[in-house]
Amino acid sequence: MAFLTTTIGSFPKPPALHEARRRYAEGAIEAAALREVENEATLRALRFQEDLGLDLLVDGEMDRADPITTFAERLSGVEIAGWVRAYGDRYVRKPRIVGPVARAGASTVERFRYARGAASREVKAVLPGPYSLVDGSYDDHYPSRRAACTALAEIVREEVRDLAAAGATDIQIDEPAAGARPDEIAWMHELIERVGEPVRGRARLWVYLGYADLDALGEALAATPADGLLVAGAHCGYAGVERFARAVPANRFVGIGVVDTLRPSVESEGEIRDRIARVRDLVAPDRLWIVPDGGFRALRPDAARAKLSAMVRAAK
Amino acid sequence: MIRSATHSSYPRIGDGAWDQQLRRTARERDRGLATETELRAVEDEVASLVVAEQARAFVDLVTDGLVRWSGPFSHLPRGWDGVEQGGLARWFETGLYDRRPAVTGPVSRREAVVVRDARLALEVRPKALKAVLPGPVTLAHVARRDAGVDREELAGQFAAALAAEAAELAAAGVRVLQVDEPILCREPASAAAVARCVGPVFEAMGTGATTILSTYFGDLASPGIDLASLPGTHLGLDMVHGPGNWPLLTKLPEGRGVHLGLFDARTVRIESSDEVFERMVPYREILMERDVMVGPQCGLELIPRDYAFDKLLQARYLKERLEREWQWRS
Repeated sequence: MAFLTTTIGSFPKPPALHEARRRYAEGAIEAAALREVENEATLRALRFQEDLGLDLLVDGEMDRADPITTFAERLSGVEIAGWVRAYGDRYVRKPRIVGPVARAGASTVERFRYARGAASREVKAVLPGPYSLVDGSYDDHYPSRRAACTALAEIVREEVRDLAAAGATDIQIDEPAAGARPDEIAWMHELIERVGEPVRGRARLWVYLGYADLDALGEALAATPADGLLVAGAHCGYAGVERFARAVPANRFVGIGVVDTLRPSVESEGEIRDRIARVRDLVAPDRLWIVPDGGFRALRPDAARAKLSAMVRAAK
Repeated sequence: MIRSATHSSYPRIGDGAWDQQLRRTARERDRGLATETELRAVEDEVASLVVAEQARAFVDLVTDGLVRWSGPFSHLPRGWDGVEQGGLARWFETGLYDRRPAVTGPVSRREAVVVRDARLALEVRPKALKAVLPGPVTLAHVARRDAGVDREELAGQFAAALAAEAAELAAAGVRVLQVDEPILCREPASAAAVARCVGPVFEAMGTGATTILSTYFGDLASPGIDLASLPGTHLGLDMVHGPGNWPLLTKLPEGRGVHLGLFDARTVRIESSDEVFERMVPYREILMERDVMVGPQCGLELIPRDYAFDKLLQARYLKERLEREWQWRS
């Protein structure tokens, strides 16, 4: 049986793009020249996904250094505080909220339009969710995390509305921090409701829940109000994944991560098939999506290609 | 005695081009342009710089910044048999992810993990180095284990491995050891396990060592925690995220020193030494009877390097004001 396949969002940036970003930061090239290199990298990411036969494509996030930072730094009321370590050798430029947040314009729509225009099948738009935006920032302005999240939810809601107006049929909200504080999951759900409300019935809303502890929080997170939920599974040997999959309402789509995107070693097709076998009977076949654990940003391009190829072969 | 002290970790990179060396080399290693050995050499350089930077802030008790650590859960188990790197998990409510220890069999120490780091740091600051180890009970709490493996028994196995590491640290010349047990603030019921498991780790340091049981991300105000039963010459308390720790200062066992976490290492707002001083004033008499260290409440790698340095500077200014106005000797 063949299963539906998509990815979480990011692809490794090619060396030419790293070089262009460095030169842009030094003022050696204009924004338009950087954009050209980003477009070329986006096209390559799309062609690769099309050649593999993925069912739902992504633009590869070639214009984002980090999903939280890039989205946040385009808002007013936000500064970049500096570099902090996120995992292993990975660092992010962490934002700092210093005033009321506001959006000057759409942040992700231009890249989505470009990718959709260049792709032969549907492209999923991907953007960070309000809870993780606040979790991934220092907040020196709002009186509480909930107040900050509520303000960011309005920004994300506008972005979601603009993406749908631009033709997005699938919109993914990244909430990797969803399981960070169990007592806040209920109001995190309210944020997702608010964000998804403008596109309800017009586009599929996906929520990526990242590396949440599904053993402890599987049931609570399975109630996240979205058309589809995506979780990492490979990194933890599927601890709690079955419990989560059983708890997701039957009318939702479920995407289960089957390759670890933070380890360079490439899983074999057989290994991935075994992982798929653990969840295939828990979710209706037309509702189960096979995905990687996370974005491929941290991997070398050859490792990312090999992992994704093995994943698609195993799923098909 | 009053001293300023770093808690544990320190940012490995900064915003300047030179400060990005470790990140750049790690990326080059990922692309096959640098070797693992070259990356380790850069780590050594950065660790020395980090020790020197803390000295530049005139901090009395420094660490090596835990610059070579893969993460708070995963680093020490790298030298142990019976443990593999498991799935990702967040370090409490921070943005830092690490691999959980996944227990595959009886745990035993195969080789030293942080002893070489301590030797190198001692070359830079021979009399002011604090070594840091993860707490066995916190590690056992986050570890993935088979249903048949008892958590306390596992903590005991981790403690034995950590005690062997502590003994080698002591032999290398380390005289101050901190063991981090943040889980104690979350699970007061773990106090007995902490007392049972961390005690032998401290004992392995030998007589005369300064041993700090560090707790953070909450307080120890639960009635289930008997402070006198907790091991160590000093108790580390989070005075920022554990407001319930302030009244506890009046209940500390006699002779126990305190490592006061007074500066929030999770935010970039810089608390002035003056505002922190004012919070300490009501406890002047109690504190001056004890050996006290002042500094951030947890590792500084959760904030950018410029802010981390500023927080250490404020800790130093605080100590200087305490010396000046309370005639407290350091």
